[in-house]
Amino acid sequence: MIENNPDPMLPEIFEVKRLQRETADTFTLELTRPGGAAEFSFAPGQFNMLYAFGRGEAPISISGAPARSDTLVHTVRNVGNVTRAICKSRPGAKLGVRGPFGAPWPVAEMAGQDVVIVAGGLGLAPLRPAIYHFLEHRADYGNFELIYGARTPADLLYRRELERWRGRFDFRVHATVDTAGADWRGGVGVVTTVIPRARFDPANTIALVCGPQLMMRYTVMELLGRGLTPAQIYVSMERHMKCGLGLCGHCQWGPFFVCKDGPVFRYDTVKDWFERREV
Amino acid sequence: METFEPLLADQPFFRGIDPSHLKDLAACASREKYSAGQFLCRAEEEATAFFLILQGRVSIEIFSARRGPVILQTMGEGDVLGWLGFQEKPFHWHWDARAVDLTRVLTLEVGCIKAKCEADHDLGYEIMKRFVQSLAKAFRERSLQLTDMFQA
Amino acid sequence: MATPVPVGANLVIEATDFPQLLAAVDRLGYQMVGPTLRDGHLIYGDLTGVADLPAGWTDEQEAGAFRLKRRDDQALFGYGVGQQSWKQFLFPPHHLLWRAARRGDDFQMIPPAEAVPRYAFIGVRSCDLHAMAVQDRVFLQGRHVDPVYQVRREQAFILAVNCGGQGCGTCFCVSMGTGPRATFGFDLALTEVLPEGKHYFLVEVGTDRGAGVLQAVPQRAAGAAEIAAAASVVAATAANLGRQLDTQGVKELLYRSYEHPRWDEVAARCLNCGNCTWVCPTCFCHTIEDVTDLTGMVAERWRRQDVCFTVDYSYLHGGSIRPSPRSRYRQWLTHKLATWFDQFGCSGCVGCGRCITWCPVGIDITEEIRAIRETEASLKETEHGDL
Repeated sequence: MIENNPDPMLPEIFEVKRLQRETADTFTLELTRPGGAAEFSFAPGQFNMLYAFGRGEAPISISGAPARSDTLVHTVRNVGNVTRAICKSRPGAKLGVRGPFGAPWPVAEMAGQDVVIVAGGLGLAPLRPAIYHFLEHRADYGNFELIYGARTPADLLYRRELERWRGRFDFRVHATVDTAGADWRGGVGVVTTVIPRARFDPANTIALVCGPQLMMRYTVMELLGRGLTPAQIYVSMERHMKCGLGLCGHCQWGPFFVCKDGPVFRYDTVKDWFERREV
Repeated sequence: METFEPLLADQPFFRGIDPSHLKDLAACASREKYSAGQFLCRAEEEATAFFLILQGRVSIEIFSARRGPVILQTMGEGDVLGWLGFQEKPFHWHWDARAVDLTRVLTLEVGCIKAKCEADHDLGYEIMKRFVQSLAKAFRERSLQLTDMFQA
Repeated sequence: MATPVPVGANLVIEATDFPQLLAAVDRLGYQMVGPTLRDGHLIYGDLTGVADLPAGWTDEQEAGAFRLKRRDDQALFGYGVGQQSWKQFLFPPHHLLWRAARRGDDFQMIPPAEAVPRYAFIGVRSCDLHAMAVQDRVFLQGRHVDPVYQVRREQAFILAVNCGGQGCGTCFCVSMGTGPRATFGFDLALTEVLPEGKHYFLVEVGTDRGAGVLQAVPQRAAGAAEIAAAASVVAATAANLGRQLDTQGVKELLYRSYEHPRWDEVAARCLNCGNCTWVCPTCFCHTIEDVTDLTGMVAERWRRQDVCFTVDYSYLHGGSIRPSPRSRYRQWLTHKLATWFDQFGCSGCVGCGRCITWCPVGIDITEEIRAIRETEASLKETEHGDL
């Protein structure tokens, strides 16, 4: 929680420092506390509720580096009233922030393991803090692969950063899209087609998966096919959220409140609910 | 002279095949190299080759007059490309396949494989099992692509 | 002044002295709310004294039906529960959380400076005490505490009433282990006893605060016969309940039954109106509404009770998670009797029967569970039977 905030429903005001377009409808915002004094600490995979004055609130995952806690980074897709208002914020504008909320990726427990990250579309946003963590503590982890799928090359987030990562010798980055024109030099084919080519030791690997539900479902199938057990796979779920506190009920998914029990779940703990429909 | 038997045995497509079949297959095989931008095959051509990709990347494209080449899929090491339907009428490629990077392949001559399979139905059965498997995989991947899962 | 009575003591207050009990509560500065008749309905509203209680009234409840009837005596609590529950006071259905004022690009938060009412709840039934305990788990005992609920709950004075054998048509508290006798969570608990010509209350003292109130009220220690008479009132109620629910393994039953055809059957009747959630004393779902005034310079955040039966409730960009009425009814019932156990370690249903009475088409939660349980075996037979 934001320190010393007795009312969890009361946002704290942050200032928009930078706004960068990622894709046609997605923007990355950098926020700081006015005055810029205190740090904002969070764990990779957690999210904040972002408030646009008068418009409302939306749950947005945190996408910045955990080590750079003076700046709060969010990648927001314009899909509704609130996110539209957030995406239209200009530097100097103020947004309300509540958080951080939710269960994070288990980056510390993964030390010594091979790391496979499978992201789809906007699903790279909540994984980026984990990627920063692994790269910063690169020696603590084994082989490290990122498989990132999107609809078209224009839908890829963090394009320049992906290209920079691709240049590293200690991090394999596979970018794949569903369709592309001839100028695209990356892969074409759904994310799952890349998994057979990923290099990892199934006995010592943790996979982190985030993307649309369908993408996660088939990705998990492929990972299990490669010999991972359900307990070696983590997924990040998405649900309608209003409070972020596990109180409003909207994010229920069977016995879970996605906002507080998740959004990151170890797959074996949610396996039974994954295939149930309209839950 | 290089024998292709060990190389064939190494290919995921032939994994587990009885070594006695490898000699027949090797007789139909040749190595090819495509530099970036070169076509492995083009739409409308007769599909006389079955490619086993050893190294590199290949993009499967359909050419649209308005949009230019539209990439449907990229393939890489261990993937196969081609048609082993063995029907009477000649089969023609439906799309272009182009090397994205320098690409090395093992090419099986389809007419040759067909003749071997006709002569030895045990071999034919082994080939068909594997080919159907690869079709099923392609079909699954294409279905998933069609669901447009990144759409909200 | 008399010496304080100890917690756990049983006392008798004559009906003629009962007004003094309410007066004593009132003198402590509580806002008294309790059962009263308004526009022909039994509601929980402000009480100024005994005259506001529905003396001499009872009710008849059935699936989809609630009727007030005259009694042939002047019992003060001779009816069951109405459509409202106490949750409207502890968890206000529409509540201003904060306001914010805009200045140019900037804005400032204005936390609410509201006076929180100190309630005295008069006539709380055992099922509703259990419902409060359930909501305590939701709002007070999780990782995040809800301050709105917390302050109201901590201040509330609770005068419980054991159920007296009338209007139990849709009740199943015995099945749920939640009544009809109040066993915890009260300052004082009454049993109203009306044997031939007499009319008195057996009072059980639950807290020192309750004992303190009694000091100003004429009372005497209860005799064994009076205690026994009160116990038989409660026992008669327990034997008179209109509904039963077999809770044996109900969570597992429902977890196994996500694809049971009964959901289609009930969905064909369910209007998705959400009445069951409005009247349910444990339903806690709410939404957050952010609005501005006409100038756009002042924004407000409201919390509003919400209903899981709407398509919007589970809306995620692109569509609803639960688009079918079947899935929404299933969510509600499965939440009450299955997922609630995993979420909060208890049942989300206390057997008050309100959802049955107030369902416009008379859908009966006990009947739905029975149907799923009874047909589960036959479904299996079909699956494995000869073809």
